[in-house]
Amino acid sequence: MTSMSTSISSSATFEAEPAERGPTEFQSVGNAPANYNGFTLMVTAYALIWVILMVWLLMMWQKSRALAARVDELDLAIDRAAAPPAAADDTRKDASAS
Amino acid sequence: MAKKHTPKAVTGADTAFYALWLVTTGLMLFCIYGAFIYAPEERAMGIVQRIFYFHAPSAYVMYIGAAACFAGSVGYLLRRTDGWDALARAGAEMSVVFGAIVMTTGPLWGAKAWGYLWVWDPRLTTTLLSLLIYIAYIVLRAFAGDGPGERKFAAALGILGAANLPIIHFSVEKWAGQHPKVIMAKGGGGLQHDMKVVFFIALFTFTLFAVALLWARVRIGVLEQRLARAEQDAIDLGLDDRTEA
Repeated sequence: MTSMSTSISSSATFEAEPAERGPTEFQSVGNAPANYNGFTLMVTAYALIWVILMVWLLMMWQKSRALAARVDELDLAIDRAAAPPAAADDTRKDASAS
Repeated sequence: MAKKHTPKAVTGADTAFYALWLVTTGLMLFCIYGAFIYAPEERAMGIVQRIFYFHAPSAYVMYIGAAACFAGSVGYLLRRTDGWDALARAGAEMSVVFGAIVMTTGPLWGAKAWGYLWVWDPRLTTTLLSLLIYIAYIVLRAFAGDGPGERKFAAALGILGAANLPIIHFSVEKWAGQHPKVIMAKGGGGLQHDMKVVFFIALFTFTLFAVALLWARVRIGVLEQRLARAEQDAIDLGLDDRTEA
């Protein structure tokens, strides 16, 4: 009986003074707003803007160059094929000389 | 019958195109100076508010791209010409690029201003929806072929995408949300004078930038059509092998 009452009283003491014993559980902050560094956010935003734009511009430039080269190549081949045989021979000679 | 190939000459349109890029680049440098040095720091949000000078004009260019896609789509359905189709495609691509900028810079600004990277606010959600519609358009054009049926379907999608624009624009006024009202509109917060100067220069610069980008993308579309014609001529002449060309 004595030991039981001692046990109950020690349990009551534990619940009354949790701060002295440290935290007893971990709790999520839930939806509490986070504190972000404004400078880092601004630098990240501007870096992303330029990366996105530069990637798109580079893709357009590469595509444009590849298309122009292919069109020129085909136009030249069509001119050669459409030209009369003698003229085509001259074109070939000029091309080999150059 | 194949036409005789003539060497390319620099046309007035080429000169205007490169002049536009030159002016836009100069103004863009001024915008960077304005956003980081000329404009004062905002009292409540601090340095992160400087995202605004590129975030809001990017949203505006996203609208321009969507409007170009809408005009190109309607034009294509009425006339069925390659030019209108190229304009619609260019507009959709521009909407995706600037939509991506808006959807990355906005949450970064919101992280400081609201404490959250993302909230299901009406304006954020409708903008995300619009971005997804134009991504769908680009994916459709890239993978579904380039036949008349696919072009018509894409044109319908381009028109549907534009229907979302007024919803995005008026969402902040019609439904309560985290996103601030349009800053210059009735009920908006207003801007300090120097901030306003930088903002309007940025809007003007981004307008020129949008025109330059659309023009560049349409030129690529025209080149693609020239290539298709040249390939047809090559096939007609029996030059069907790439190495032979």
